[in-house]
Amino acid sequence: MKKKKQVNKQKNVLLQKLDISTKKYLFFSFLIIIFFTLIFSGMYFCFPTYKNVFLDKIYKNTRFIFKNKNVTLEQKYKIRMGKDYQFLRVIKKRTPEDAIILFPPKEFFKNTEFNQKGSWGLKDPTWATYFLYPRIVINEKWEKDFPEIYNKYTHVFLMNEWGYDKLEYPVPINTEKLILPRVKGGKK
Amino acid sequence: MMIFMTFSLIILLGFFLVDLISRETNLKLKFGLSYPVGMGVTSIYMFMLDVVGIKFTLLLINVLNFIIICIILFINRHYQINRIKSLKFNFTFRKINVRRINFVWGFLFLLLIIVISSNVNRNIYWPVYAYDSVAGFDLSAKAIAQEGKIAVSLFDYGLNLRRGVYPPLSSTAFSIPYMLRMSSSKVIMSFFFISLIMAFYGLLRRYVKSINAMFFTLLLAITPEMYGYGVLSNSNLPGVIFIGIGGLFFCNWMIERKQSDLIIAALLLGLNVWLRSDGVVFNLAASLILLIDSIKKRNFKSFLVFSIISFAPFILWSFYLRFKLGIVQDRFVNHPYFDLQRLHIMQLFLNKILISIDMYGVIPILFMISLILNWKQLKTSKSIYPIFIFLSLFLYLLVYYQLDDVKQDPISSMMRNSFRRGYLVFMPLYLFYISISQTSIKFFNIFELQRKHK
Repeated sequence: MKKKKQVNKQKNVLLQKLDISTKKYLFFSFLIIIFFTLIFSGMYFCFPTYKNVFLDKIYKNTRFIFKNKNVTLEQKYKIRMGKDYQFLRVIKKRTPEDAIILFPPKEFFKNTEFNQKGSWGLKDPTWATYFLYPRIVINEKWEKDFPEIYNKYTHVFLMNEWGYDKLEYPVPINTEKLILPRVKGGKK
Repeated sequence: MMIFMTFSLIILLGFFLVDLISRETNLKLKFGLSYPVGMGVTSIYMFMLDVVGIKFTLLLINVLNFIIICIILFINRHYQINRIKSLKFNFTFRKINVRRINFVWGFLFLLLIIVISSNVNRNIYWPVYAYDSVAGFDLSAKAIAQEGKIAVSLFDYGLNLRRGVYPPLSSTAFSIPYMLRMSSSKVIMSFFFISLIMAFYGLLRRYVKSINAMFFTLLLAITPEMYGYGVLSNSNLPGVIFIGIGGLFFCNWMIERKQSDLIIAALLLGLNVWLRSDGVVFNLAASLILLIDSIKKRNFKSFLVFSIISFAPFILWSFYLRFKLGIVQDRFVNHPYFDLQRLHIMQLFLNKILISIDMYGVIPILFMISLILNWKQLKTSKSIYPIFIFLSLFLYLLVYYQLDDVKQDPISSMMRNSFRRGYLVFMPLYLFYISISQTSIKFFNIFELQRKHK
């Protein structure tokens, strides 16, 4: 009985009728919330940059994430980096972890299916090294700037008839993209 | 379990250190500074371990963090014991007073939670893909996690030289998730983003009421560039915390003269140059103001304390670059010169960037309006904020003016990319000044009048 009385007392406290000043406070709070909603709506409609933040960066991105919850890491990289990342996976499979891979110069990547915009992509050795680490990626720039490193390359990325003279064994020249060891049968 | 323990130790380290320096600071501010300060201190002793040749592992980092926390707690033991004794746990049921619930604050807080959770979702979901991270900080982080040292083998291979010369705070911060075998380090950006929001709100609450503080905190969080850099693994967002919040602590010290504010300002600005060397201009600006103040007061103790703490990391890293890595940073014209064309190019970009709504939203414009509306405030001690802002901006521009185009990208590219990102650190300074201005306080007090206070 005592317990029942206590529970009823709590219910009465919670369901107590609001006095007039509290109603005024609630109404005033509601008005202020409407005011701030109008401010943020004004920012949304008047400034495209805020619309971009609210709509694209927050709403659309969150919706995409919830709709594609089960996407793997590999698939996410493919979405962001396309063919560049796909080919990196091929390089990773065909080279050991301690490989130093010689890539073609930047100009050989023009008019290929790899990324042409900005700095990122297979054309940049440092970018490629990130995904292939602990393998190291270098290109022809190293021959002049770091010749002792350049001479240690173990594999060559052959592309658009480039790179065949970097191998120490004859290979028929073609336009395929290939990753081959510098020395036949493995690294030096 | 290991993930939880590692990050908890870093946060607790920062929390207890800030608590030791500034006991009276509110909890929100302490928690806001916990991760940045904790990670900064962790980064410094990782550097020390590298210098003495000890390879650092996750276990060693956790053990050292635990030991440092114990030392701090021991130093602060009397205060902590008294604090625990004074805690009262009152479980009696109290009547809900509707007029004590701040619905407006709750609404703004809800919007802020939506922004923060969107940031966290994006950072957990997407891997690192931004070029500066992939070819810079994150690549260094992977190597640091694998090799257990800061002078990683990437330097021997001639890779990473451009980003590798950056001080190690961001790389070491990003290396922790890789040591924990996580697939991406982007969660670190969420730690920094949440820390910025909490620290800014906590700092504002020392001076203004809750709705005012929450509104301007929300405005900071939805600044287009701020939100953008909150999901990219680079050093710009952490820089906003160290420079923005550190600068504010410095300005607050100039007004209130609380010694703890000066120490925290020095610590944050010191960690700023542990993050990016070009941030030293803000330390210079603060030191210059402090020097003038010290000369007037004929007391140089504060100046010495501030200078030693805030410049020490810059000197340490410069020596390390030169003597350990053999890298000499020679990017500047080392004599004064006058180039009208260069100034004209800088001015063209400044016209676009300084009050750019696309990048910084309404904040720079509101700041200009606030300066005009509260012009009388410029005659009071609050003028220290615009003085620090404009002096820092001048010194920051001077750095870009002195860059050598032969050894660096052309000035147009540097202004368009690098300066634009660096300008982000001014946003907390602008917003803080707007929030504490008389106009703003009077405006937001209207919303607070109806609440029933204790």
